[in-house]
Amino acid sequence: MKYCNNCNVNVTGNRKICPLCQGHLIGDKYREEVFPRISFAYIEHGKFFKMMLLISIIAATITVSVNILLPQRGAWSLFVLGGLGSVWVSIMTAINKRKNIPKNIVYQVMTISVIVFIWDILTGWRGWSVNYVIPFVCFFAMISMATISKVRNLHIDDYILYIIIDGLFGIVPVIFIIFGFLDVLYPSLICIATSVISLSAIIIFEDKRLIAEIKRRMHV
Amino acid sequence: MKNKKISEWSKLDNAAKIFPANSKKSDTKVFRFACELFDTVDKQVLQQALNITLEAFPLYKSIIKSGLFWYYFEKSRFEAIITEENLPPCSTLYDKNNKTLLFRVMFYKKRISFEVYHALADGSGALQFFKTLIFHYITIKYKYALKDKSPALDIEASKTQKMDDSFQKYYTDAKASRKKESIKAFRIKGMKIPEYRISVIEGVIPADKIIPKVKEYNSSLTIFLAAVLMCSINEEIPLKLKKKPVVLSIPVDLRNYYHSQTARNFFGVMNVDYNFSKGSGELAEVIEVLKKEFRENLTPQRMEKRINKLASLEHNYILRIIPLAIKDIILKIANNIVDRSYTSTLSNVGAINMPDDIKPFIYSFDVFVSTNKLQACVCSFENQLRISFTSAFVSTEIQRRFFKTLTHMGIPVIIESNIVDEEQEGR
Repeated sequence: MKYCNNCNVNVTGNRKICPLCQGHLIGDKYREEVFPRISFAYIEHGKFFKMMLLISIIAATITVSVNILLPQRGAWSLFVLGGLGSVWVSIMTAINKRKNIPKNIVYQVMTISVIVFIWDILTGWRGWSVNYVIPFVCFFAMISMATISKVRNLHIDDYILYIIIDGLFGIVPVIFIIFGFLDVLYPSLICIATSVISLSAIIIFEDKRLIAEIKRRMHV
Repeated sequence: MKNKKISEWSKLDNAAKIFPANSKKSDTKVFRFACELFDTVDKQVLQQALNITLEAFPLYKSIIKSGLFWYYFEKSRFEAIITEENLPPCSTLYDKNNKTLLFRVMFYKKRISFEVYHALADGSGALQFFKTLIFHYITIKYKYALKDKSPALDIEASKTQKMDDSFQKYYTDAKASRKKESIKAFRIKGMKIPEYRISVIEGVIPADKIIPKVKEYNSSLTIFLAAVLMCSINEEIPLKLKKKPVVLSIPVDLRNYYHSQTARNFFGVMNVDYNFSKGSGELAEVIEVLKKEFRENLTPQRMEKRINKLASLEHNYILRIIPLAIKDIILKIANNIVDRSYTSTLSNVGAINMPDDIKPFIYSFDVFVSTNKLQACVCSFENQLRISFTSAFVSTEIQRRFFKTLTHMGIPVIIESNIVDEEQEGR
């Protein structure tokens, strides 16, 4: 058996060095190693990200500097910064939730809606976010969720909650209509109609399942 | 349409509630039981045994999901698949963005390893599962050798008993004492192993060689090992930190004090400490101090307080309606404070028993746990006592001193370890 003179212990496996004192072992192997050898991955996780982050920072710094040198056209570099920020928020959400597609879709709808709303306000409210973007994002989210759940053969319990959240969110444009925020009606109407139909379908056919899901998620 | 059944779900028990908020790559809250047989493991048979075992332990088919106020177990449709061991010990099992089952079974040569996420079960709970798995494996694999015998496992708990949340059952509503003598424990510092790996160093000791020594000090095995560990840690304390006490956190299996057979969590933790700047630091003295501390900590009143303290979290209506996202932050802060209050952990799972007809097929059992510091787990099978150290640190000084103390007493030790440093490997 492998033996360490320093520690007075026997060592399993065919090591040369004592795991306790790092001294040299003497003797012969008598038993197999009990753990498989698992090499270090040596993969620097998120290396690509670090590159992208640095590139973003370089781009941002250069734009701001150029902007300060050429101030005649106003603070246009803020658009670049805002754009970069928005892309990062959206990508980070997508990556964090990549394993759960329905959840990912809902998170994307939320982040994109918030981002475009802020953009619209900051660029002198022309209403394009509520007129077009939010209703269409919501509508496509519902369509893609329905398609993906069929194609990937997801179990209804895995996406029922997200369909409901997206459906409820899709009804929000009703408020825009009531308060007269909207100049163009058809995107919101399409979105609301789809929401109402999909919510009704769930409530009619999956009422028990829906109640069970709500009970689980809301238990105190 | 298929899959018509509505998913079953259940709450996390009281002790389990802290784990999802505090699991990270550096401390995955996963522990492992392993069993070494005399033959190479047969994957197909093991899979068969696992499928049978899962029938008796329905909770193990769960994943953890987050609700608005609490995490909960939901029965999943994931299949439990046996794999050849290809992951570092105690790798992540719970990742909120990547849901998987909360346990895994792997094999390597003659060893079967079973890793569990702590929210699902504690040591004794998981051991019920593991013993059942090994039992089925051996009865299937060696049915010819066993054909005249009908071995039976000593676990007679029903499915409901196994699913029992014993914290709820034994909650008495008595006021949990708020008295908290917060002592700043000495904390081991040092360079950590890359990639959040842990080193596993196990000492295999013949039980009949160590027990006489324990008797000499008129002590119990846990107290004896705790004292040796404390003395080994003491040697590592730099002079300017000598004033800080060495605090060992010792999990207590509450099943021994209540009539519970749950396969979930039912444990409490007690902290015992010794200040080497105030005492002689002789092993005999440390043992005497620990004996007293164990006696004081293991009274029924203290046990009850422990349960109530954990359960009170769930009986507080205001706490209950705090959204989960905020609870997570609170639990993280609480965990950080608790983390600072102890130096290391010693967990004695005790003797693992198997039916007599099954025993001849088993070489040994061992147990260890993920950690971001240094932890020791102890268990024994027949005459083989295994003390398994897991450590996040590169340095193995404390382990070396620990085993050196034992070999100095004339106790033979065999070291088995994983390879975390390529240089260790002989070629």
